[in-house]
Amino acid sequence: MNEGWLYAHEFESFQNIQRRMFRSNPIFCRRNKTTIRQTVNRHIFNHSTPVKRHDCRCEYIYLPAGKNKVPSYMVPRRFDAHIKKRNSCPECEKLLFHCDVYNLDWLQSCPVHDVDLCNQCPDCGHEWSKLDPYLIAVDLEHRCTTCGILYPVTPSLPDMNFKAKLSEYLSPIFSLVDLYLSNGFGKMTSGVFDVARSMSDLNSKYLPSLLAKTFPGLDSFDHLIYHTGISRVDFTFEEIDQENMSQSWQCNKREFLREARTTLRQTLREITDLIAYEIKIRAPAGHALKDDSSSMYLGECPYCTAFGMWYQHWHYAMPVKIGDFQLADAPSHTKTIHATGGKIVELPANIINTLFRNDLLHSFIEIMHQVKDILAFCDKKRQAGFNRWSYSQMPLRPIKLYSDYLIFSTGRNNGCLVYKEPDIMELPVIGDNALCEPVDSIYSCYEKRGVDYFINKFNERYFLERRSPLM
Amino acid sequence: MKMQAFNTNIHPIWDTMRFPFETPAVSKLKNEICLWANSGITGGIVLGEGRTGKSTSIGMIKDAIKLKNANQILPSITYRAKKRDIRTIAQCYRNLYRITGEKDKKGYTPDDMRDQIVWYILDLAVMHSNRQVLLFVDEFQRMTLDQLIVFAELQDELLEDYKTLLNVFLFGNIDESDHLLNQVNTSQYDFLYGRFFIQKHVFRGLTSKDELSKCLRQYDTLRFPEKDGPTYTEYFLPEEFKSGWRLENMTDLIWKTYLRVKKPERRTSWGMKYFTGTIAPLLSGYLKIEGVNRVNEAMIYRAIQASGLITNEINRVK
Repeated sequence: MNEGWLYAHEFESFQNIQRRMFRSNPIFCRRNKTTIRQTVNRHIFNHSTPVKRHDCRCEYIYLPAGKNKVPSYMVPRRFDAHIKKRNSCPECEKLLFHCDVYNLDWLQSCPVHDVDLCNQCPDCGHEWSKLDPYLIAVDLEHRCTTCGILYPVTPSLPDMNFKAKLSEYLSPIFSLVDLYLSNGFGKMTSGVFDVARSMSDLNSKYLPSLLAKTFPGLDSFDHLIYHTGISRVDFTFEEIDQENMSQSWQCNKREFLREARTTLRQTLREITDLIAYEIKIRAPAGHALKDDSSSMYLGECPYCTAFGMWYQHWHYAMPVKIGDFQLADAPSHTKTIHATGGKIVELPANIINTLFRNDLLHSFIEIMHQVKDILAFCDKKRQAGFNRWSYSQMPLRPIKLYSDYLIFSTGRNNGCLVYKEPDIMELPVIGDNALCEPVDSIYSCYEKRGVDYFINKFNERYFLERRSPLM
Repeated sequence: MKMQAFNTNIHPIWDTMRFPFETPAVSKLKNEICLWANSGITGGIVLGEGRTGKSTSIGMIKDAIKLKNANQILPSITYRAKKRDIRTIAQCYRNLYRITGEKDKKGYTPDDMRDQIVWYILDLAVMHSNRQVLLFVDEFQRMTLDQLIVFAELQDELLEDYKTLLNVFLFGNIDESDHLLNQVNTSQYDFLYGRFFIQKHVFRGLTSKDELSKCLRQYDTLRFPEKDGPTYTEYFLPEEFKSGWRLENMTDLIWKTYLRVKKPERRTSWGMKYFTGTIAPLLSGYLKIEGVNRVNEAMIYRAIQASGLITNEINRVK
């Protein structure tokens, strides 16, 4: 199996590796379709096991480790359905080069050739090849001189000096981020943004993880809280007294919290817009963010993009790696949130760790939900005439979060209780033993069998039920 | 019980797979090929008598050819020609394709395989940060001239499309390749002659007493195990070695005995296979058992005989 090193390049994307492997093994491209698919699956696609996120922005998804591992063959197809059109530079495609950085929506022109990035070939009108194992035969028959797999026939890839050009290209953008968040984050960029150094440290080709690693301050969200103003709250957990909570309040709580959450999302969106706008107006021509980057759940997330922040959609809930660094536990400084009033909000470590393990930004949002809810709860109580709340400890059990389920360890025989569709708002009241009943009766058996057993079974069900139409 | 395919701890003088040391002929060949490779020529031919060690020398030099400018080792491929009833160009491609490590299939056409081989060579070149690859063709007398066109085609494709040079060095038996050499001189094969047959080197075994002396000195200096083991001579004759005796001392006697054999056998050089085949029993047998003082010409003659160099005697017996 030839590797096609002649066309290899630093920072090339996974798809590019596959494309050059096809180019260097033309013998596979001349067989019939069935043979091609078999050969390709066996040789080329087996070269790499990681699966990319739905839009290539957030590196790979790594499946749960150890015995909870989901069979890898089940995963790519699920995510393939969500892959958006990839962006590329036509000139780079002619040279058999593509970098995942091109898929970032705010990058609109090629750092090397200064040509507008596009999601289809200007010569033949086809989408840039994704090398789907099920469509590979079509790709091979497609012989465009720009995007066809069997092209180019050039002596070698010219030295594009991609590292230096990308560094030069990105430095104004990151200096703007630096400027905007200089109070909170401190000096993030010192001098020229050195892509080469960061990438070699990371052993990663993807910008978000690159940024997350380059600017370690980003994994702490207390600066964000400061800037967003969301946590300008004057309360502590000590003010909450669970024993004094009335039944009537619990009924109203859900409705009230929904309202609070909507407000929070709007606030976050405003902040996102603001940052996007700042970058957009200050960035040089052609480097602006897209206009439709308002939502963080649909399409681009400028938050994630600009700050290299990891995010994860709730329904994808999978453990994530940043580079080679597994986020096992949250760093210690995330365990406390410094409110602007000088008071300290301490969150239970198990909540933070669990949420942090899944995603930083999501954790941030969820914790903010919680904070906002507690604030609202306090206000409500105050209005009702309670002036003083005393509460000594948070009677939380060790919990695990898995997809739409919260798993509470019962402490007996490694048993667990499972809540479906967890609502983070319920966490403070879970200490009540009466509430620790499994919501879904299907999972009641896991009380005795343990967490791992549940996760295994869940994986099986999850992937069987939610398979994409392509499967 | 765990089976081992090869005994890796075998003493080098018994190791039939390689020379125990680099001989003067191998050094000469290495320098010659290094010169050819550095001058950018497309190929050359190395001829020699049978059992002189041409094939073994390929193994010794293939990873030692360097570019003088960059001091980089040039990557190499070794192709051993095979003789079959029907010798076709496709068969040559198929054999080359097998070198790439892939299984060939019946449906593969020569064009398919050629492209794959080209990329294999390109990968080799790029991995060594070079634009040049050496191809050693062993036993080329088994091929036809038409089959040699395969190498010319590969050269053309690599050079024109990818600016990569493939140096083809043909190694063959001097007597058996006569018909090919005569044939290639005709105008029909001018393009082959220009590519591969202009540069010539004759590979010989030991031709002089000096060379013999150099080789024997290697037995006195090389060690097994390499770092802290005894020298080859010391390994078999520890006490004599300590008292100052060296195998090199026997150069005169061995050369004198060889000259006795050389003329009736019509040898132009002492093939390395026969030389190592002589020294091995001499060192481990006669010298060890009889003692270094009692060795005489008859014993050395017997050792040369055991190596298989003397064939006329057998004819005489017949």
